[in-house]
Amino acid sequence: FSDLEPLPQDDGPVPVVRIAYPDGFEEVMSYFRRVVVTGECSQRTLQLSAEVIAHNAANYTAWQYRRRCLEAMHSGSSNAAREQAWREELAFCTARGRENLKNYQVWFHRRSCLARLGSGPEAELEFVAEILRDDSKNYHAWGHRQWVLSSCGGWEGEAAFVEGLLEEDARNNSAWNQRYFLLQHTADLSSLSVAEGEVDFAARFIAAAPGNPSPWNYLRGVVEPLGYSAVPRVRLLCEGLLAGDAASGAGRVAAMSLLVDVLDEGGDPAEQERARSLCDSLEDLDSLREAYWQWRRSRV
Amino acid sequence: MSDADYQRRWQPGVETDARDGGAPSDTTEEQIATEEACQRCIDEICDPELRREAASLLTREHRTYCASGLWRLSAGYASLDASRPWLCYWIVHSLSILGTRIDAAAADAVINFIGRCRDPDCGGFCGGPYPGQMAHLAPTYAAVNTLVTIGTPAAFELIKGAKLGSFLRAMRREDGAFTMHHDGEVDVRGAYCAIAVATLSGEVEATGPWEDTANWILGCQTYEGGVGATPGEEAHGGYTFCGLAALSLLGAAHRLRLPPLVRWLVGRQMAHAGGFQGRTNKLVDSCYSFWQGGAFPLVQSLLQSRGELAPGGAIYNAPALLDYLIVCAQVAQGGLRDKPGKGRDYYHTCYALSGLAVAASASELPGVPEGWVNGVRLINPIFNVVNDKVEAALEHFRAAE
Ligand SMILES: [Zn+2]
Repeated sequence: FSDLEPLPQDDGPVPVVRIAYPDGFEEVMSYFRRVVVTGECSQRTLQLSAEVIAHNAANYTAWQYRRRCLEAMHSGSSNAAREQAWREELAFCTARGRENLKNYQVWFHRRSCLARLGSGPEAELEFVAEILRDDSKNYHAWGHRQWVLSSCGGWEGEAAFVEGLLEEDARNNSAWNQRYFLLQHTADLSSLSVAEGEVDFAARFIAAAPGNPSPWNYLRGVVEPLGYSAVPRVRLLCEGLLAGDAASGAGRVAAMSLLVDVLDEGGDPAEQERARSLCDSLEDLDSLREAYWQWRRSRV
Repeated sequence: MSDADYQRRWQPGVETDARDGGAPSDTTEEQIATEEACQRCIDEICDPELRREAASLLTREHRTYCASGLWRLSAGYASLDASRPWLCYWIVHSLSILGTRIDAAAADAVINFIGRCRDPDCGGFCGGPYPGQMAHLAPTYAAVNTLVTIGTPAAFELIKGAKLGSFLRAMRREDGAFTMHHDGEVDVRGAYCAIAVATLSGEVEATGPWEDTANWILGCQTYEGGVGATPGEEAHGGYTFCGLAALSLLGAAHRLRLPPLVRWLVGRQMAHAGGFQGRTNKLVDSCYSFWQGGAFPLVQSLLQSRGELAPGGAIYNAPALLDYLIVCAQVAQGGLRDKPGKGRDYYHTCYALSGLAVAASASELPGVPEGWVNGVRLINPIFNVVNDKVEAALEHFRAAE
């Protein structure tokens, strides 16, 4: 880089939020700043951007500059050479990705590589699965997985994958969300039999841990659009839990809370009276949400 | 302080479902560990000898911490080198909530620095001084909020000269969603930053129409009731706030499915220590005091406008939220943290204080010692900037049109 004059950061006469940069940070950034100004796209600037990213993986300009470099460097290349370059870029992304799992840039860059490579979903779904094995609720990883499924397919194995994660941790709400996403894309959510099947699925997890909010939210999400009266087993589930003594604390609150909506739905005066009295009990049982239960009662 | 202060119906430290024994997992294990860490804070404060007098809002300490960060930050902040306008906003906004006016020299320095982050070609603001970084919607939002908080003629001049309209138009996608920067990711943050910036700078008409944007955001509401980053993604506090605030500005918040949204929001407040979690079955974190807590004034005013909630009525537990912030999130040396066991940082300080300001504006705060909220300035929850400064900016740019 001897032909390049570094361009130092100009914070002005009285700098604010001045960071005590670690060794090497400013030098690399000064060269990169110069490159951004000259617009040079070459192997060496690609390498330089990698050094910027090593210092700060959230530098979105450096990630975008890599895409710009690769596009420019391979505008006249053969398809095979282009593909090879983006494949190497994906490998770069994988290496950087493992250290930066909560970073928007690395996941977006990954998507950009994959979109250019146009390969099948298998390897990528496996990559995400591996990330989720360590960090099962990683928001970026789940968003990426949805993108892979939507743009490359691979839906066949998803139900089993999600169920496996739920068996491991029934409180993995991201996995519940993914089950809903899968259903939205592969099943008819307005079908009664689909809804009943999903209620039964959620009920199995509720039986094991009645206080776990994830299956309750899932069940409501599936049934709400159809109306609770269309799926009588929802009411049976709530009444059953409240009649027995298996559920304590949070489980009873969850069952009562859903029962309020079930009873309120039809507009029957006697049922609504019971809904109001459930709200009264919830004010005590779920005292943190006292104000909410008073409001909910007023809406019956 | 009298014993009446302890008469609240909700008591911190109640047992939650993680201890029920059903389906133990990583989630229940982490939840129990977090509850224990919070419990230690509660026990310390609620020691029968010390009672609650031991707890107060450490205004002076937070001021000192923020005032020092305005000038210098440790090497740990190098990962935020592409988010420096955010650092300005987090610090300047925190100080303004605490009622601390930054002096004229500091204000000039901040304005001068933000001016250097402007992208003169594309418009908008970058994550640091130009050249070297690209304009990005998030630092643009942070820059505009910082300038509005400072609120001097020079600050308004800078907003006016930042070519925000053309930048926003360039970030807009055909379907109404916004990309965070050229060749960048798309999610609800983009739409929120865009409409917030456009509103504050008087560019709404020039950057519309916004109909598609509203529809796109509505498609991000999930089966749980909250909002995800993009259609299909899990309901999340940060995106829920962005979606709700953006739709409020667009006059379309009433088109959300409100009962599930309200249910999801109130469900994220944690029975153990009163703070909020970001997603179902995740851990409490002070930054959601604003992302979730700040959604309540918006939802409540919507319900009030429809006659479904009494004027001044609230549907969440503001005193409990204050308990979490004062008892569990404050660091004795100043600054606030995500949760007990974590270190302080400027992001959590800003959003914990923002949540505190929201809770402080509740019409009734039974059992809350006055010193917890005295002197805390009211914020406009849509922009997360102190109220009078938002009014001044809106007025300024309306008059300028
Ligand atoms: Zn946080």
